[in-house]
Amino acid sequence: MVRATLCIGALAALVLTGSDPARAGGFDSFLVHSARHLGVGGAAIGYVDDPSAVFHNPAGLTRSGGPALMLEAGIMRPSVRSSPAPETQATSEPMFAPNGMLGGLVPLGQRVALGVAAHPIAAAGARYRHDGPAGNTRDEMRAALVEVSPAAAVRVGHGVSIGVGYRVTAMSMRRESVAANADRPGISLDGRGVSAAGIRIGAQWDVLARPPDPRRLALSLGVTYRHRVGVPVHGEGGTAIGAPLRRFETSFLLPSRLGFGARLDHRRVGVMLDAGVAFDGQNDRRTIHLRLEDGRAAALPNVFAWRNSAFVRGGLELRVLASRALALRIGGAWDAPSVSRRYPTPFGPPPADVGLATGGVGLRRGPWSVNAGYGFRFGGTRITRDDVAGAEACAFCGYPGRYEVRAHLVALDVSHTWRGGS
Amino acid sequence: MTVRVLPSTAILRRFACGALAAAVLFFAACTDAARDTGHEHPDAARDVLDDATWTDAVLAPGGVDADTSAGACVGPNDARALAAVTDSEFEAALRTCVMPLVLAGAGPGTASFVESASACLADSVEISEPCARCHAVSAECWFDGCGLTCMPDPEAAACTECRCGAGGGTNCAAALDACTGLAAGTCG
Repeated sequence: MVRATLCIGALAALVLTGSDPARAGGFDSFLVHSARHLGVGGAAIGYVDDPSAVFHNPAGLTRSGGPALMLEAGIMRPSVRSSPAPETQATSEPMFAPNGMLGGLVPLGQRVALGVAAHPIAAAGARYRHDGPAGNTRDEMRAALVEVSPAAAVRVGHGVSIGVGYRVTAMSMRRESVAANADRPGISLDGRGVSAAGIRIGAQWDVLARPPDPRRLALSLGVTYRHRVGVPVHGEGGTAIGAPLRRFETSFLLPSRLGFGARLDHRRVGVMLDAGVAFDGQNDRRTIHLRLEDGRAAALPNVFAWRNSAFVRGGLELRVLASRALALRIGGAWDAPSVSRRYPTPFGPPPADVGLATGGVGLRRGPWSVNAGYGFRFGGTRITRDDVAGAEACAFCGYPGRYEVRAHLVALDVSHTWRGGS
Repeated sequence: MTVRVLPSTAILRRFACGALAAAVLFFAACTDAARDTGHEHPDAARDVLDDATWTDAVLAPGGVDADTSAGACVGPNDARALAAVTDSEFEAALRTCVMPLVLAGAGPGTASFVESASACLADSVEISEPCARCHAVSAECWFDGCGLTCMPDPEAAACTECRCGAGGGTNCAAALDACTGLAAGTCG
């Protein structure tokens, strides 16, 4: 465990004080996987033992009782209220965003396990119709990042497992704003990109291993670190600053995250808690490089000026019925604000504390496990003229007004575990 | 992307509060008249921009301010309003008015830009519409000729030079001074 902690610490230090001075920006709205973990506020780092370990903490791959497959399907219905134009308070149009995961794992002997999963990792966006200074205007932004990640984990003894995942991250983004009476959009960018340079590492420690007698205490701890990923994005055509484009290039950043988790079980009750830091301060500022149709080059500045933030997720699980086959879950989460009050965005989380209240239910029957979860995300604040005073020009930022997010999350996952496998 | 056409407001304020103070009484009546007549031909200045006669146009009868031949921003109300805002506050106000128009496809060069931008600026800084129009037309002037140069860094020397007509382009800064009646001396 000491060695694993040193490895993680050394890597984290390298990342946090690394020589790469690149300043980039992006989005990072936390998505919860799977339905089982959604029910307990998303807490999973200390105990995850299914294929979603690839996402939460790859060390958890060794905890599965055998080869497993998991399919999660979910949907989000976010509603964002903001000020996308001066003196304009608007609520985003209704939209549904799919979420989910497909994952699997295979133990190799008693000590090693391999896993792979594909899932969205972050998303942001909104579509408005408002009456801003340009008259009736359609203003839209959407960004989605999806990852495919193979991972491996090994038991190193004394109840400790360590794991590492390699992440291939793909991104698509679209930004468009056009007034009803305009000949063409002032900005219309549609781009895609892929990065294959991400890693995620983690460790788990069964401090008090669950004995055959479930009336005794069981405690497990975990730590995980996700390295930041910069995804280069480019697109052909479109418009910017009212001029037709030949192409554009930019990049988005998925910031680093460091999280710790714990789970305590006693009799029929399990309590789980995650806490950590999102290094959103890596989202500082960035540039969209434009090549106009006539060959001229231009650059569009964009400012994020996000800051590092803390998060806490926790929940309670109660196992009922004689065989403990039915699990009832309740949980919650809190994310400290990372978005700058000076540079608020109409298309992402508000510059405010964001809460998440969740609940769920799970059923185990033989090798099958089915879980359902629901979450309600909420948070908001008012941005004043004083908040944005002195701000630099920013193409994607909002204006003084009320910023608020409300999102419903629903998820269902089904998994099959071949217990007693190799 | 920053639209920063206002010359040093410190200098501007000196004019507003110093040399122009003597003219306040004289122009008091003119300013009120200008507010009434200034927006009757919102496209006039823009239409002649390409002909490099922009300065004459905005000062001509029927243009920005038919009655304030000394400039559209020299009236007592404008002097007071301009003195009440800092350089950065004015820039922010102008940027706030122009940026959404640019992003929505209603920016400089489109039919409604000058009218929309000047109305927004007049409202937010509480200056007369003729005075605001000087800045809107100036924004269009430099955006047209210097937008690509100035977008990455409005503070860059290359941007200032471009706005001052370096390389044979339109001297937007001088045109703004002539329109407002406030010689800011940005171009030295």
